[in-house]
Amino acid sequence: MTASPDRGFPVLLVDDDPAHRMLLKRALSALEPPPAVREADGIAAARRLLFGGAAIPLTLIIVDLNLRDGHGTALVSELRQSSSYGAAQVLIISTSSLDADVTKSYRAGAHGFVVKSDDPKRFAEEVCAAARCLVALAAS
Amino acid sequence: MRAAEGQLNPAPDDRRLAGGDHRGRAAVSRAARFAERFGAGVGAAGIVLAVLAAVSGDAWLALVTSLAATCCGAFLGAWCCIRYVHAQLAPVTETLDQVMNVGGVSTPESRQLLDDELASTSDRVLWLAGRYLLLTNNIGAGVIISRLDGRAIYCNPFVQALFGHAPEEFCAYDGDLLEASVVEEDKEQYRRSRMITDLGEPYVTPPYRVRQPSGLVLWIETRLVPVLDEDEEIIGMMGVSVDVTGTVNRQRQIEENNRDLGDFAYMVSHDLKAPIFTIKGMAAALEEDHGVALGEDGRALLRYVVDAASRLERLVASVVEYSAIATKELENESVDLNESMRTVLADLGELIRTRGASVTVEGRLPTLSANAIRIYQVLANLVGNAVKYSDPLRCPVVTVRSRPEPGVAVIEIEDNGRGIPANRLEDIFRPFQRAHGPDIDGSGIGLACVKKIVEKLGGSVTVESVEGRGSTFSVRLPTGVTDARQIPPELVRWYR
Repeated sequence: MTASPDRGFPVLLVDDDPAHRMLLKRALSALEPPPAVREADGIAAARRLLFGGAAIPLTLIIVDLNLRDGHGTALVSELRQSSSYGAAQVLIISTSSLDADVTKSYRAGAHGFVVKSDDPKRFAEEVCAAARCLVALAAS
Repeated sequence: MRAAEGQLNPAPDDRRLAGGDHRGRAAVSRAARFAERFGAGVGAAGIVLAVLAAVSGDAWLALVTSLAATCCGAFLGAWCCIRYVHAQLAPVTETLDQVMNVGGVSTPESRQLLDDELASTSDRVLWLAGRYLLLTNNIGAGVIISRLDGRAIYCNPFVQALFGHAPEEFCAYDGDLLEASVVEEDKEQYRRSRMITDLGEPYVTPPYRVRQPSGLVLWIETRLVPVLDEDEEIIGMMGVSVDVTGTVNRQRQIEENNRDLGDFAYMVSHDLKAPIFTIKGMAAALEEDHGVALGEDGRALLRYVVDAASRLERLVASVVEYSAIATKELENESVDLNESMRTVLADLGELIRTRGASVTVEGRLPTLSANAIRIYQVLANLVGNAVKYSDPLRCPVVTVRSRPEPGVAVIEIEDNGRGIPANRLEDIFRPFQRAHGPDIDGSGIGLACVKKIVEKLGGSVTVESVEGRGSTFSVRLPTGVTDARQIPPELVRWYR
């Protein structure tokens, strides 16, 4: 999957908090070129989008860990087993920094983990850095 | 077979305390003394009269003399018999005295009662047997004495309540019926416990489950004590088992509650952190995108929002940390407090430098059996507080030292800070209680965490303080690992 000339790489953002999605989109917009972001407000919405029809091109999937309709790692496991999205990079974001959550995420097949830290600017920088790194890995 | 060293060789004090000195021989001794004196008197009279008869030739006197001599002989014979019986009974009564003296916590009244009422050896044997049966038939523990192959040679009636098998079944079973009753998952653990006892030391098993023939499953804890012969060779095993089902269930309930509390803290943490993240994120975005339009006043108001969100964030983090200390068990290890202090001082380096503080460790600190992370938290909190709550008029001087007390290491952290008001000394170890105002940054959870950690390690923390002059916090921690279930050495002899 390659980025179009005017839009960056395709991203799916899965977070049940609209404010957090807005902050994430805002953070990702700092990337050059800005990625094409699609949104889902939970696991069910993400499943509909991903598996409801033809596969959609995705380079990066950003998943919040604690969603109202389930744990983000459940979606990550499904993505890892999917032939359509097995190559997509998965970044977990969470307010939790517990070792158990980080370990569980990587075991499920996530490629990165960024804590929603107390400093919004730092969080935006970390998400952008992780996104750049993961997209570069996907392209290599 | 020597099932109880203490039983056959009681200390002299024990014999004296039990008050049973030669009680068995008392009546025999009295009879012997009487026979001795009376026989000697009659014998002497007979000799005098015989001499007189021989001199005078009096027939009557000769008859009396011969009768006297006969009596004398009879009494002397009786005396000899009594002495013989006395000598034969001596070892028996001696042993009975010793046996009766084991665990001999008896009152002067009961000793007198024994002297008065239990004059004969058979009475003593009956009394002992009665006491023994009373004890073993009514004790709320199952007692099994077995050979090394596990086959029982003695069981008390209570084993039926614990294992669902009558004592006769245990003794008739070709093998270890107790082990056969242990549920499959716990068998290995039970075997390991027996193996430890085979090494010659008493051992208390971790709780294990047994399934009775009725299907009832109970949690059992057994004190296993090796039985030794005269050559100190292990020839068997005694197990004293108790039902700990209630305790285990309560323990599990506590663990479940702790897990629930941990889950609750995690949920609260996430559910509170998420909106805080939103508030701070949106405030930052607002300032970035519309900062100019907001003006100086608008930006100041926004900073109040961010500060409040930050305080709330620290509060949530404190609650989670306190909850983790209360609910999360960490493994103990050997912790060198000197190493811990070096890490603490390195991590607090910036605070110490900016406050111009001097932190001195006097002498060497001890090495303890504890958890390194928790010890770090204790020292970092106390040293950090000692530097933070300094008197504005003088540079902070903090001294860390230790002194030994029996079984305990005392670590003192002394400062010359602003001190704690006397009426606040009891409150400062409670969560969210602070001795000073908001001019010093803090969540009010640090000392509560210190207290919780120290108590979980089996110690205590106290403070002495003079307002305006400084405070000394004393942390008392046990120096070694003590397994509370292990039998204290002074009690072990009761099982031998």
